[in-house]
Amino acid sequence: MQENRREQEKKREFEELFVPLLDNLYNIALRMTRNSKDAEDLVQEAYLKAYRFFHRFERGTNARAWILTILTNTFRTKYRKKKQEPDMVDFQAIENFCLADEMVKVIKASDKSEAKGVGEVVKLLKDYVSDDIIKALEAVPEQFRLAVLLSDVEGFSYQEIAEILNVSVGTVKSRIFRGRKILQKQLWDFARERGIIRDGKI
Amino acid sequence: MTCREAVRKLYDYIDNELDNATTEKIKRHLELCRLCCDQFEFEKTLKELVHKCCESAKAPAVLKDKISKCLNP
Ligand SMILES: [Zn+2]
Repeated sequence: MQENRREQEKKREFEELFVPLLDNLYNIALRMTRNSKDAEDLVQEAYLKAYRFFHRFERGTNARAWILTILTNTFRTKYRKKKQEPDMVDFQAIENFCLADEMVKVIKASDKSEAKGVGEVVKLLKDYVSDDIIKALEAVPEQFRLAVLLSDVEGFSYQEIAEILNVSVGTVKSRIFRGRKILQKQLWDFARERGIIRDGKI
Repeated sequence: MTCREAVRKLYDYIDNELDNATTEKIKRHLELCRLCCDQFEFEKTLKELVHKCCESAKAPAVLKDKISKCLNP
């Protein structure tokens, strides 16, 4: 009877903490696994593990960071090999890539009448649809993608990301930097492939 | 602060990783420098776009059920 009540109490506490995070975790799992079937499995597995190890969760600490660590580890050990990950990227070629600058160059070439700056291309950037951004993200190799997601989507600090990924803060910074450069290069390639940068519009 | 110094701290800035003093220095530079201001705005916008495209999905009801069933066998 006592045992039963304790179990009920544990379940209630777990659900209170983690059920509201379900949509958030599902979204990030989608971007990690890049397909809904794996994302569902991954989230379910993370929840079950979290429940099994709930006694290890330190009350009062960040529940989202805790379950995301579990989700990330599960993804890295189990799912990343399933679907072909993008090839590693030649960083030397990409280190100095800047999407804004590329856009400015094209606009200036097509429209010599006025000097346009990066300010103009912020508007261009907003022309990308969600699907473009998702496709570009999915082309970023996993270790960089994870760092970018944890920063941009989850809003974690470099220190928190370092703990989640179990790497140094320096590594986190370099992964975020490279991840963003690769993302920008992808977005640029889409724009060019489709010839959508025309007349200063995407 | 020079443009070079500002741009080197661009990601630290948009990711909120800087101490108050440095943040203030960059803010002051951005107020005076159109070029950097645009560049920072561009990167911040991209960060926001990534955020936005990763919050639109809803966890399927069947997933919710599966999890709640596992917790309440
Ligand atoms: Zn400047």
